[in-house]
Amino acid sequence: MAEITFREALNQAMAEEMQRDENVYLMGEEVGYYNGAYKVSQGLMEKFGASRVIDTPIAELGFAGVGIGSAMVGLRPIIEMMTFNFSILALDQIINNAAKLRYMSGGQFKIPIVFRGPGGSAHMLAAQHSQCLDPWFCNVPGLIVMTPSTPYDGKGMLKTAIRDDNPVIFIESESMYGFKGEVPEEEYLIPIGVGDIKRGGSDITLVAWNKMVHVAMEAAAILEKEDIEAEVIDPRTLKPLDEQMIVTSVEKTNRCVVIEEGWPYAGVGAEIAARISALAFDSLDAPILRVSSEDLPMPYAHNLEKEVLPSVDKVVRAAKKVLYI
Amino acid sequence: MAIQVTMPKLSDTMEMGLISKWLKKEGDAIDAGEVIAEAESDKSTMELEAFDSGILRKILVPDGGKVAVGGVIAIIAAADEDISELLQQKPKNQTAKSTEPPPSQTEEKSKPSAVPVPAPEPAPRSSDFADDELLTTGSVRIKASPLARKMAQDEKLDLHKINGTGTGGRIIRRDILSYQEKSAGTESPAGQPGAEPQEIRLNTMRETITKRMVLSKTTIPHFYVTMEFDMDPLIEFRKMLNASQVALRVSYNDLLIKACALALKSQPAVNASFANNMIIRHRRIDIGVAVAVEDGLITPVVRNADGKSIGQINGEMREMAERAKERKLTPTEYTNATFTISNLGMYDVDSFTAIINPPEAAILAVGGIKTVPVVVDGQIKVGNRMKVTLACDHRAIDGATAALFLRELKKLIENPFTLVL
Amino acid sequence: MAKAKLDKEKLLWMYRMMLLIRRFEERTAQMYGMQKIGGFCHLYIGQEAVGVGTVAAMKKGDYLISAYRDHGHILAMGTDPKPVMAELFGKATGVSKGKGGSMHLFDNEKGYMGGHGIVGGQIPLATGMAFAIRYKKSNQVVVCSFGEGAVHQGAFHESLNLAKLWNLPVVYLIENNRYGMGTPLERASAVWDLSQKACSYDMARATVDGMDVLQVNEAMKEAIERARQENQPTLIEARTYRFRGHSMSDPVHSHYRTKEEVEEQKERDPISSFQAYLLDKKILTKKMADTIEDEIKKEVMDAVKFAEESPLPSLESRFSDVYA
Repeated sequence: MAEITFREALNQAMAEEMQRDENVYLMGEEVGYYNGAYKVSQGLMEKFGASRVIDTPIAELGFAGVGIGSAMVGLRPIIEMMTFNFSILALDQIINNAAKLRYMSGGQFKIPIVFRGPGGSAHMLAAQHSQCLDPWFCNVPGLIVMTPSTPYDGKGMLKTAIRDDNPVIFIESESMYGFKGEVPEEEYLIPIGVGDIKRGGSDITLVAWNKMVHVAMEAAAILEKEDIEAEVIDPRTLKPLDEQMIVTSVEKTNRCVVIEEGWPYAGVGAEIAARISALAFDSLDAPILRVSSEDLPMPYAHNLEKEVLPSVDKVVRAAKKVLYI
Repeated sequence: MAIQVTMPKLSDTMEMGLISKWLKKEGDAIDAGEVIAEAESDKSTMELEAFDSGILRKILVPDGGKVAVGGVIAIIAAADEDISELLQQKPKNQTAKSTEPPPSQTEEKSKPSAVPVPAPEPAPRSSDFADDELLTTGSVRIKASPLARKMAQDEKLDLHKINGTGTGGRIIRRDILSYQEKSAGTESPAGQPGAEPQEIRLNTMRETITKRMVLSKTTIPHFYVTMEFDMDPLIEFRKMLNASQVALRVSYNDLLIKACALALKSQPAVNASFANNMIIRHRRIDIGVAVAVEDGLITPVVRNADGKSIGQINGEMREMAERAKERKLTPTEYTNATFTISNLGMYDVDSFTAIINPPEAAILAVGGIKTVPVVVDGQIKVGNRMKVTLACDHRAIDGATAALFLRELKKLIENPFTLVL
Repeated sequence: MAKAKLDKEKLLWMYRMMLLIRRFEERTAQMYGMQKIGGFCHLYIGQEAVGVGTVAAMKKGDYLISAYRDHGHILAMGTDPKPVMAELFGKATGVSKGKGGSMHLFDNEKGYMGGHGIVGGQIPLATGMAFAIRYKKSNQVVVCSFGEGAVHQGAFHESLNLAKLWNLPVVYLIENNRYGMGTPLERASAVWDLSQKACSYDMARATVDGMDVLQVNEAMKEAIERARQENQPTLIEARTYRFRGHSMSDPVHSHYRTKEEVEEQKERDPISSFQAYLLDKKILTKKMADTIEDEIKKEVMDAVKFAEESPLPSLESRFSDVYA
């Protein structure tokens, strides 16, 4: 198996799907001539031409709507948000149109569209360019929200997202684009709504996604030195959530810490905690804790930024707290 | 200015306090110095005074509620003052030992109340574990994790019997498992309804006794010296004393207190404490006397007993013992003794050994006065004898010192006129 | 009245359709008053010439998309009044299975891409459909209708820029009925000649009398031709007037416009003037007009009856159509 970077994996997924279906096209700011702000679309324009890899002006609301309109009449757009911070400008189109047109029309339309790009924190970019908006999208019925943590998952999940007939919010991570991982040559797909146990264990369940998976894995390694076996679950798809996988794990470990990069208030962690307490209440030996970003706009200074974000140390402490040690 | 009323430290050993009864209710006007509630420490029931005037706006720990020392029990404020911030706030200086408030706090308190209170800082509570909000105080509900509750239900276990070791005393899985393991061997024969033992939860006094006696017996190297006293002279002496004044009812204890005080004066090595790897020899002679009360015992202290007359000692003891039974003693009245007497004579006990009340270095266990055949000048006669056993902390006192003390005590008891010299 | 360049059949279709919309809307108002219809309900009365003149210029396969004042548009696109009325009634037989209501009528098969509730929200969608037409190199055209209130939205400007930048076959149609709810154009727009907005994007433009179905039709034909042949967008402003309130909950006239103004505008009634024109040209006779009136009355009553008798959506149906 070849070891490739996250951005290469995503690039392969798009290239393969564009090759496979001519209705698939990529649109966004700097995706074509510039080869992508983060080089995820590197070489695609050369391969598929300017008619299928389309540079847009800086008009997120406009081109998000263009994507949705084209999906209403049969195309399968991939709309790249240079970062998900800018998707806020397109929210009316995403929430009011992409998510609802099928329902409002009584099922007359399919909206096969992927909105993808990096989300979450980045390094010293301050409040407007460094934030995790996962729960915003998860709150909306009609959307699917996927967020991979490894190159392998990224490729298999993006291919699935492109082939799905529903609007998919596909949240990547700027700081993970360079991460390397093994990706097989042959084609594979990772289904929507199926999580992955990144590490087995029987003492505590750690639920994390996107780059928080790596924080959780590091914490699990530290806990292992103290003979604590943590199970790390990556739901991969946040909506719909693989609640069965989480519940099964908590039934075994009796305790859970959710690690999320988003803000705590009404976040995905809160949703997961609510589901566990509804579905596995009698299995809980401790409260479900969340390690989230602090309820603050992201500060610029590195020391402050580090403090605000979830960390391995915070996860270890939370784990010990629910383990009563 | 809104004020948080906190649970005061009512005794040196007190960690938790129990609100036995609120004497004021929410909405009542309070004057500084007024008694607002009764609280039970590990030793006694105390009256809680308000230090500030205002309206009792909120009672946070209800009757019967337990709270750690320093925990907020109520809020006193002006009638229309916004107390929402205080309700969320943790008490200041919760664990500080000093009675002097830190300067910053004084400064804050002296701010005129007309100054607008700044908007509360947003509390960045990102991680649930960041503070110990899970430790709730004031609740006497049994805390158990859902899993522990389920296990207890399935196994038909009574959670009251299980000790919780989780956060804030929460009963968790491991507690259920260890309880099951322990009780596996000692299961009482099934099918005998009504034969189950009665389980009694510890009150704060019993908790303190438990803690301190275990500490004493497990960390202090005790040794015991017993001696028998001829009590005939003391019996005569007491008769004479009580006959001399109609109002006087001198007890053997009163006489023992005085005798011990004088013996300690001549053997100051026994009037000592052992603490922080040091022997502390006290100049004062303060004698505690164990008084049995419901569910426990308490030791009112006669201060400077060596300098007090038997009449004075009698008056103080009578008064304190009465209040002890009503649990109305103040901490200064039952703490900081330098020596303790425990007398079980009234229960027909021959002799017994007592456990030292740390940090004191010795305790005298007093048996009953027995009429026995005694040999006097080679003749068998009928006499009255009493056995006392001195328990000593060997770190502070050696055997010979203990013996010297008892010999001195014997001399005093058997020559009671020396007690009034 | 503009000079007709159309055959008799087309002219009669236009007349009939305008009248159908008028009678349908009048009945809708009645049903709303009887609480058969709920929610926001915006009537097209007074603006019929714009929708009908537009659709008369379109070909089968072309797309029309509009805002929430959409009853007229879906009828003009050829959808049977029965499922339209049923949708207003919130019935399972409605065009959107009772999930859309008055503001969200759709008929994908007929090329009616929906009534959209967020002002200006459909403009990027229309642009996207035009993008798809170019992408697939097909020969369709998209017409996107919206009120004059929408031209102040960013979505409008972003879309016009993209349409011109990418040469998309789309016609943007401003149905200027003078009021964005209770705010007259003069109090909302720095520019009152709205087709001027096209100049910023170097786009073709036209301004027409929206009460003259033939004028609307002429301008639309030209714009659609430009889109179909040259892949060039056009912005048309049709100056029309709504005879009713903004929605059913808004009075016909209140402090924002006088009764006199509304009465004066009714002199421009697009249906009576077109009828007069057709009678004058002997395309229509009094007798024919009466027959048409009777047929339409029956058609609308049938629609009401159908809606009335249709079942409510099953409770389980609320879970379907969320995801494909």
